Amino acid sequence: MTQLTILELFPEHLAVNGDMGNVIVLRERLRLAGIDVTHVKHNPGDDLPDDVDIVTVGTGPASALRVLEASAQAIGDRLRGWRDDGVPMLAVTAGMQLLGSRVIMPGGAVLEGAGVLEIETDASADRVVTNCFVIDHAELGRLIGIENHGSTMALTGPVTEAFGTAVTGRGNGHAKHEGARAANVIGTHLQGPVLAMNPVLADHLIELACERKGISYSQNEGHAKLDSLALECRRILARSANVAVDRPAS
Amino acid sequence: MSRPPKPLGTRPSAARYFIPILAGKVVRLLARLRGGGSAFPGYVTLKLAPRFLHDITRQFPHGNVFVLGSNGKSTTTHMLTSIMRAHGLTVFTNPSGGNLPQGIASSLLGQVSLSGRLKADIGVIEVDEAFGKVIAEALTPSAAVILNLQIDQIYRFHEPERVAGMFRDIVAEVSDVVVLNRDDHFLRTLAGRLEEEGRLDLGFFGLTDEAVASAPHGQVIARDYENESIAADSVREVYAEVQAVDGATATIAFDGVARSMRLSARGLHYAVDAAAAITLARKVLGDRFSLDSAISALESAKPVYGRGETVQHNGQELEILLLKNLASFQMNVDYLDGAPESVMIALDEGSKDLSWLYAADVSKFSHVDVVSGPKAAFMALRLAYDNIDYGTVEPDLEKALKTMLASELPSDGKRTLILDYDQMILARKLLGHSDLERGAS
Repeated sequence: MTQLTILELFPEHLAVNGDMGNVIVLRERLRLAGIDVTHVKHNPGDDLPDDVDIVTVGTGPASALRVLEASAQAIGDRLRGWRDDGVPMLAVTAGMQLLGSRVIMPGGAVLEGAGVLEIETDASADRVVTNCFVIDHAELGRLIGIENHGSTMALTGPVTEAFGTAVTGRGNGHAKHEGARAANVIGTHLQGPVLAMNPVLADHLIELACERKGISYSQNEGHAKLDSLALECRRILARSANVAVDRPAS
Repeated sequence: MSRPPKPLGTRPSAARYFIPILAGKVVRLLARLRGGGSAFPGYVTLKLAPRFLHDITRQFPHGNVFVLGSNGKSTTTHMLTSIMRAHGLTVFTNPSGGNLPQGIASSLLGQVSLSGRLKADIGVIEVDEAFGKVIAEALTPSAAVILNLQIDQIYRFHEPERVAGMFRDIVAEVSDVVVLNRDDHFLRTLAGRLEEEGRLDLGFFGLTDEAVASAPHGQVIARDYENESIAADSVREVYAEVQAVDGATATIAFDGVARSMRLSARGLHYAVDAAAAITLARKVLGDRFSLDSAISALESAKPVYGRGETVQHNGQELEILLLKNLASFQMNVDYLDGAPESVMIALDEGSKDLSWLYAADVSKFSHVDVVSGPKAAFMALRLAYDNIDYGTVEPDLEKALKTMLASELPSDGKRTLILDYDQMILARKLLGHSDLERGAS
């Protein structure tokens, strides 16, 4: 069996909203395709593996960001190296903020992030909770989940662009931008968890990882069954917000 | 602790309250005739008389006792009420679900006379965190117990620190006694603050390390990241300490002397609720407190509506477990007797953000027979990602129940229904047991 390594960053602090589900989704989809997975959890003070294929980091409270600042900086060089090598990464809300350049905390304290994404977060904004958070992505189409954060986010560097366009909710709070992307690193406010709700994004990360490894990933009816349930979940949220489950053809 | 009854002059005057109470009672009667209870009657009365809650409940000689926490409020309120009654007190309490101001007002309307008289010795009030401060300002509680702080309804509470702030604000309104879970991370931090402040008489309940270790997922409490280094070394004396749980039988040490008792439902969480209720009752009752009376009251208490309760339906035994958040789901599932043979799970629209399903360990299930409710697909997807057969997806609860009840009865004759709040109310109604739920009326 071929093998991929998934590195989950700070699961003890940044999995407050079911974010471990993103790893569950990647593992099961890979297992269904006959690809074995090594799941490495990285908590503060742990050593990083030499080689990784996919990196995930979830969301958590402001207090978690404060205690993780030093640990995130300590692995910043390694994470930026993997970014430059094209390793796919998924960072959700607080995890995205921590992988960014800096976070201005409520009260004005500035927290320096890992510098993987060129983003600056202002975490003193009003809370936004969007029970049907819809974003459109040029290639992946419409993604649906839940938004829950108290921040706005600015893209500050030449290589980092918005991940998608916010159709509902706040997103980054600027120009309908949602999330951030640099090389194969994706940051988003989509929760739900995002990969369970949107298998197209899970497969995108898997395909990037498999391409780097030179292995092939093919889906079967097991994936199709999961995908139809996920579609039904997106439909339920979309219906509640009266939006289309698919991006309208332009 | 007990205060002298207020002189007649300070009782709410009949003149001032006659119209608001009459209006509320009429609305309440109409609501009941229509076949439902609601918080609306209380809303009407509060509109007409904003100080209604305060003026009516200050008649209680033993004051108001608040029950707070992410999980276990209804069960603990029920336990505490049973203990107080066993000690000869007349108790005013709000039924589960009626924990907002208008719900409490509706409950009062059912018992108060038109002249504003309510004969009760003590109020035992379940309070929602988010409305706790407003309710505390109105009811000026003499005592409170806080059970736990768990990750709960993140779409409403956002971050556990915010809930900790709500608890701090509520406790600031308590005049005499606060009882806390020693082994909860955020409550440990709160205890440190209150000890420093020195204003309140504090009491603690807790669990032995062995009891926590024996639970498959511990207490499922939220972590207080910023205070972990400070709080870890402070160990407090507890009156009641849960030592072990075997099904519904809890072994709890009181001042170091172990007692065994059979509770109304299975699991470590019920044992912790019992320890909390007894610790608070002892503080409030003082010399009148009898541990034997308290334990026998708990042993004869029935489970609260839908919390580990078993209903008989056409010869079938249906166990109903409430699914509210990660902690309640996980602890209820952890204490099932093995994988349930016949099981249905239903999720309503009211369960807004179901992300937490992925933080849950669902490996206890060998299969699920039916997933139902408007959000059935979310449960099916979660189970499918653990490669667990989720059976039939039937969003319509009535049809789902029919399918379930018509299927072959398992050898033990028991079926398990795991339902979120709205689906539980609906299921009870469909099964013809809605009379047992008094809701917020």
